[in-house]
Amino acid sequence: MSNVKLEVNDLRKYFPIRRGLIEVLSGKPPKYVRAVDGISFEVIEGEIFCLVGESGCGKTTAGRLIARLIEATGGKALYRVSRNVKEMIPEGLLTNGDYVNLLEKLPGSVDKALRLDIQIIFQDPYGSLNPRMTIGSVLEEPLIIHSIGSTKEERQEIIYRALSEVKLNPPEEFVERYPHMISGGQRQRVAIARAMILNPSLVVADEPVSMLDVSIRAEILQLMLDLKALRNLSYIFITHDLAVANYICGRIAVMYLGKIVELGPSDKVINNPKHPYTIALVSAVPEPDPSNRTKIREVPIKGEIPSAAAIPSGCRLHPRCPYAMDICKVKEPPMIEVEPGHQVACWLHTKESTPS
Amino acid sequence: MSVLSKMYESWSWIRKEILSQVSGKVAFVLLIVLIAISVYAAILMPPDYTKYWDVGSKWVDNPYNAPPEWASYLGYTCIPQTSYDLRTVKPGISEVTGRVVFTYNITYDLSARDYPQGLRIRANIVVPQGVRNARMRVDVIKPDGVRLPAIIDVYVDLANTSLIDLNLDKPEGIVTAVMSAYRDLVRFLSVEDIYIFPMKYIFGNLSYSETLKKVETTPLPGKYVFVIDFSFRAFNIQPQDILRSIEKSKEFSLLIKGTCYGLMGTDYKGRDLAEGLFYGFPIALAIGLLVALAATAIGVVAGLVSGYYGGFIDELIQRTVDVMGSIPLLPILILVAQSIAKTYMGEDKPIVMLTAIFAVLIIFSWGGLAIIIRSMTLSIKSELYVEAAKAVGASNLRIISKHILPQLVPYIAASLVYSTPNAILTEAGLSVLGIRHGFPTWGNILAEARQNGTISQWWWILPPGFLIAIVSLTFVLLGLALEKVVEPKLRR
Amino acid sequence: MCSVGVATVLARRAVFLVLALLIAVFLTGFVLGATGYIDTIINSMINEEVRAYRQALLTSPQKPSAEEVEKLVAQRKQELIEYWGMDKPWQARIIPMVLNTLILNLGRSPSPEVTNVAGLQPNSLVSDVIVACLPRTIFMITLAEAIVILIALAVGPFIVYRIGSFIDRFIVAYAALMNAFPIWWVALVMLLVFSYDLGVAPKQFRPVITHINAFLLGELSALIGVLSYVWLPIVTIVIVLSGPWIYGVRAMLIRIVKEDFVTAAIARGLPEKQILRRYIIRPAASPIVTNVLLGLAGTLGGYIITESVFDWPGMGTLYYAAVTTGDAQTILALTYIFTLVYVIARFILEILYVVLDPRVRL
Repeated sequence: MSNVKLEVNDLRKYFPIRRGLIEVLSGKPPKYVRAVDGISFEVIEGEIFCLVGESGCGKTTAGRLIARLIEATGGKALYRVSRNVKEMIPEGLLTNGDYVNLLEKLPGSVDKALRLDIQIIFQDPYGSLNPRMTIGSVLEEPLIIHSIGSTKEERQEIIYRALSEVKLNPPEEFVERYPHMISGGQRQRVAIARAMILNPSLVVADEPVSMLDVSIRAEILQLMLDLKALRNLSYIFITHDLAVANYICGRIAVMYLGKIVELGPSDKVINNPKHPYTIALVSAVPEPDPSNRTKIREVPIKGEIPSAAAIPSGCRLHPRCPYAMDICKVKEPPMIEVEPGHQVACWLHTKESTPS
Repeated sequence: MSVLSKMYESWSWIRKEILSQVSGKVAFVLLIVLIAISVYAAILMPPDYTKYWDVGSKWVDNPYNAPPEWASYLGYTCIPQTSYDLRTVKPGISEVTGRVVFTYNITYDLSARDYPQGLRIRANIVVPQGVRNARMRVDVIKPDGVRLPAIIDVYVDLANTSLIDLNLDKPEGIVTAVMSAYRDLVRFLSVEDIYIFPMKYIFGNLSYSETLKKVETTPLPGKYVFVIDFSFRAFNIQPQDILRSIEKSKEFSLLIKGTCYGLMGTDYKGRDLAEGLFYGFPIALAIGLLVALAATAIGVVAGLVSGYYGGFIDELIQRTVDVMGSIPLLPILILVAQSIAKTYMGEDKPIVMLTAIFAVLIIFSWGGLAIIIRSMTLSIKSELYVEAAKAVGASNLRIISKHILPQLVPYIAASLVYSTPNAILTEAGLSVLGIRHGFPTWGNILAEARQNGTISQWWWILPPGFLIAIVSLTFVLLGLALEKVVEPKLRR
Repeated sequence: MCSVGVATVLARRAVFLVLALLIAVFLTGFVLGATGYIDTIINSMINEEVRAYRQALLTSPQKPSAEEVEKLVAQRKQELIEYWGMDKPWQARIIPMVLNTLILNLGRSPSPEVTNVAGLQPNSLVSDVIVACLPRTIFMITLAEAIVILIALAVGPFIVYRIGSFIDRFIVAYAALMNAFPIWWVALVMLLVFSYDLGVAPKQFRPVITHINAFLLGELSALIGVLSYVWLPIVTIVIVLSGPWIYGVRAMLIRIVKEDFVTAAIARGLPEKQILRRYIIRPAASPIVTNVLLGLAGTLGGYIITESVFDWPGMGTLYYAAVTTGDAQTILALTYIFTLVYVIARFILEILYVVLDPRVRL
């Protein structure tokens, strides 16, 4: 428990679907979109933990839940606060000494204090910066909110340092510019600088390179790795791109329709996938080796991802899974450890080992 | 960047946009002129202007219904106001039967072919103790030689006072004067006519008209001599002493009222319209801006709350605006204004009425802006950078003021520009309709003109409406220029 | 098309529109009562009657004594107070009036000024008065607005195809000017110039009543008489309103002209008329129809000042006469009618939206 930064248990988020007056009156039960339907995982201190999956699988929602940008429907997320933040939190809210449940309703001051510890980097580098604010103002905002730096000069110093840290030099030039005056990659660096400026210990990165040119991705990813080493950060890295995940992730959790189907160290999950869905994802990754281009690849999955409002019964993948069995249609498979640290939720593997 | 410099940025950007178009340039110029005149007028405005405008004493010297002085270029026969300060005139001094007589000979040159509107002698003199029985007698010697004796002849008893306070604006003795001067026309003279139109008989040429079977008067230009005999019974007092007290007195003047007056003429009470119109500028602007600011402020707050917080309050505000949009404004406004006019009898009635009118206007006009602000707020609220601001710990207040409000500035400006003339026009419209609040606005002048004037008094009827229209035009042009800012799709 | 969803939406709208109607009438009643206006009127009426009664008593052949007179007068005054409900708070007087109005039991008008506008005798039925005045407003203002709308609908599309040209800029300038000048002021000026100065228009407009009545009874030649009176007001309204209307139509159409699908149609070389008809006007129909219907509905009660300037014996002047003489019945009735027409227009619009705009149908 001591090196666990975040322990998530049965995290759930259901979005209610708007209903007309007639439906309400007819007594039919309300429908929900089950964006996140009970996921559990741990993030070890100093690791990069990835949530991987296609659009609509719930990974972005999960990230937002951890970052306390949306309210959860259920579950627990025990987070170990850093020492400086711990002082701002009243005793009663702490469990096991240092842990706070991120999914609880917390008083405003605690919420604000947590922002010093948990930050988020968004996917869209243009959208996440207010186009009418200069880079300087964007970076100054968090400082002003948390009263960091009592004079303009002090804040200026901090901002310059933050910009240098993300390799936007000379910082004096960048503070005056507006987002539309800099490139996508540079904007994302600003977003990263903004996330770092409050010195968090956990950063949620929601597809930070998906909207960037491929040539820049490596730079940004490298920057994130450098910052992690420099600041001893933990990341929750969300992506749909297995190639990126392979490059940067320590451990991966593969999500499908709101649930984690496979979880484990990234080399194991990617090179030796157990879940049919993971297998399909891995085989869909573009092949970098030209000599293999004549090899016909079959992606072992059929159909399209169903709507999260109409989740299939039993194992969610069963309508598309080439290996579907009768039990798959009826019962949800439990999460089983097939190797040390490598878990899978699939009836194919359940008989092979003992439940974990 | 501080809040102020941020706001300045938005404003200067807007100003640049406005000035880039013809309508904006014109509007800007008009606006500057408008504000300049208003500020100037506001500084010069006498403290009790409302009462002062209404009360007659200030205007008594002015001719009634007089066209402006430049109307002579339009063919009007204009007689200027001519005033003689008798304190500076050296009278002839004589003694007749124990009375000291000061004789003032004033030559009045009537050059235009028209009758002056009136004449007035005013005296406010403190004479030495012991002076008794002051008498003021005025004769007129007309250019054709006819002498009208004692058109004014008053006695002032000074037994208990040394103050001679005279305000003689009617030639009381005119009837007998004319009768005695035109003995051969006595049969044909109409006493009533002389009494009602004394000026015609003082400044006119009388002749008998065979066709009309009565005495006709035609204007008689030329040099008129006013012989003013100011006499006193004074024991042991030197004439020089009395003369000195006259020279040192507050007022002693002869005024011959002209037929033209001032820059913009006068109305039926003799009020200087130029003054009324001038002081109307800041009043009009104040009315317009007051209502516009209030309605805009309420609209912005309602829209922000509605869009940002949603829920019940959102529904409530939306439904309220919806319902109010169906209620007819003008009838209710007229009803409220009239009801108060007929039932409220307090001293501050003009203020109360104006407040009521403003209240109704404000209540009915905040809705439009609220809906627009609400929809803008909703769309901005869902932007990613707002979420990002929340992620770094921004409070609702901060998000509203730093991220949402700056983007609303064009809409706020447009709302202010659109609503300002609205209030001015409505207030004027109500006045024209006949619901008088008594406050000296342009609408008030226009209403009085409509009620008490005729087309021949164009200088009374046209300028107030014209000014209202110009002010309105300024804001309409401004709004036109702002449209490009608010509706980017309309940009060419 | 008529799904349950549509029906519920329409029902909700209807509820709020009816609510608006109720609020309008109750608000009017409230103003009448709370300001004490209606009481002032009733009190003066009572005093007038009491005075007349006292006068009658004093000159009556029976020659009652001074005490008897006072006693009878006091009794009569009490009767009147009870009759008019002045011994109760104003709510007790106003609320029955409001409720009566809502069920269209409009009562009688005690004010001669009001019935004069209609051309009827004092104490006529309010409904008769309104029915009499309605056609005059329709002949003048509604007709003028209809003309303006037709002009705007004809000129608007023509202009929008020539944005930036001289004629376009001229129209915009003209619209701006006309937006600035209050219509009642232009009306004043027109009256002064054409009726008083040049003498080509009548100075009194009340006589139009006879012509309109004759026309309504079937005498078509009376139309000429009507025209001789109505031309000046209509011309005035058309001059002032066409500017803003053309500008409005133009603005609504521009939004659509800028859309890509129009550019594509032009690029395909479609003729102007076809582009206008199919691509531009159809989508613009929704806001245009809204403004047309609401504009026409608003002509009943929206031009009170203009009507008053012309002293035109229509609904506006009627309302003003009712307000100045404190004729509560007529005031309530008219407010009801004005709002009712507007509310019905809005409801028709709701139905039309569903027909015109496929996106609304969901």
